[in-house]
Amino acid sequence: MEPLQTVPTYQIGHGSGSPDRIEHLGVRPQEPGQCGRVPELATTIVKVAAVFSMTDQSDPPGKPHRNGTSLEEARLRQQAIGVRLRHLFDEVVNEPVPDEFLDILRRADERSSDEVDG
Amino acid sequence: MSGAQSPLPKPPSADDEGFKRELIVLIPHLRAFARTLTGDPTAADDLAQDAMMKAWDARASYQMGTNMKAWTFMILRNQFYSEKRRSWRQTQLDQEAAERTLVAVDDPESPVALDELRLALATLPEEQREALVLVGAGGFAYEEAAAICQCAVGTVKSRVSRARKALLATLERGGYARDGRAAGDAMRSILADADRLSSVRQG
Repeated sequence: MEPLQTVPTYQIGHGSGSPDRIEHLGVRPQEPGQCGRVPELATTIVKVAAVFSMTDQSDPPGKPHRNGTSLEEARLRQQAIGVRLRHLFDEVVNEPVPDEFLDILRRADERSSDEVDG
Repeated sequence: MSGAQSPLPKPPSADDEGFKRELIVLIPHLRAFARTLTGDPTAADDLAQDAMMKAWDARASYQMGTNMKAWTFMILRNQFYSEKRRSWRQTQLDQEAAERTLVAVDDPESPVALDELRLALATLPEEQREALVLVGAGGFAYEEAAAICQCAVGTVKSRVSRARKALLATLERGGYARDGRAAGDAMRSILADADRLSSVRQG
């Protein structure tokens, strides 16, 4: 494992609480009017969410101050690069092989047979 | 297969046939590895063809049932470094050239993350790039990559680790502006792309 102090810290957007950060966690900002028809329900959701974020320490949105969060970010980034790298490689692997390759191999095969016979 | 009696042409031996079949399966992988070493599709195919022929000529020294992929990759790599001394040195991409190329290939329709990773990859020192590609994309274990590169396992591990950090730093720095977009977008487009690719893979 890599030592902790060498893991680069990185934050999306402009720091804690930015829309980027919220979207990244899969929580989208409320659209105007989306919950407008049921204001009581909307208020309840907000209250529950507030309680949830107080009690759940695993990934409080908008507060990436703990070391574990930036570590998680770095891991995510490395993972994304890894996926990209494999894709880059696989793209070439999945290209059709130019006929030239098989022609060369076939000619070499014939040539080596001739050499053994001749 | 062994029933052929005709002396001319000589019936191919079962070993040769098996070897050839395995070699053909490996051609796409050799092309991909060559592409990452040379960074140029035409030069890569020349290199892959040379390596394929060298492997064919050396087939007597290959033990069937051992790791043929690693064996052929080692041949290709040796071929690359022996030829590179003559011809490829001047075409190696440095950071400055990468930035110029990025502007040159600028195309709003092209997959941004792919170009950016490819160029960031091209700025890595060769030994780091090949180690990362072998382990991170070629599917080799550290031990196999060490055999291919003819170095110690620990050396491969440290090269891969340094390559990963350097790539991340290059992409996050986003030093090269593209479409006038803000720095940092390189990493963001890669993150977005990784999500898309992961879901494609699972599907």
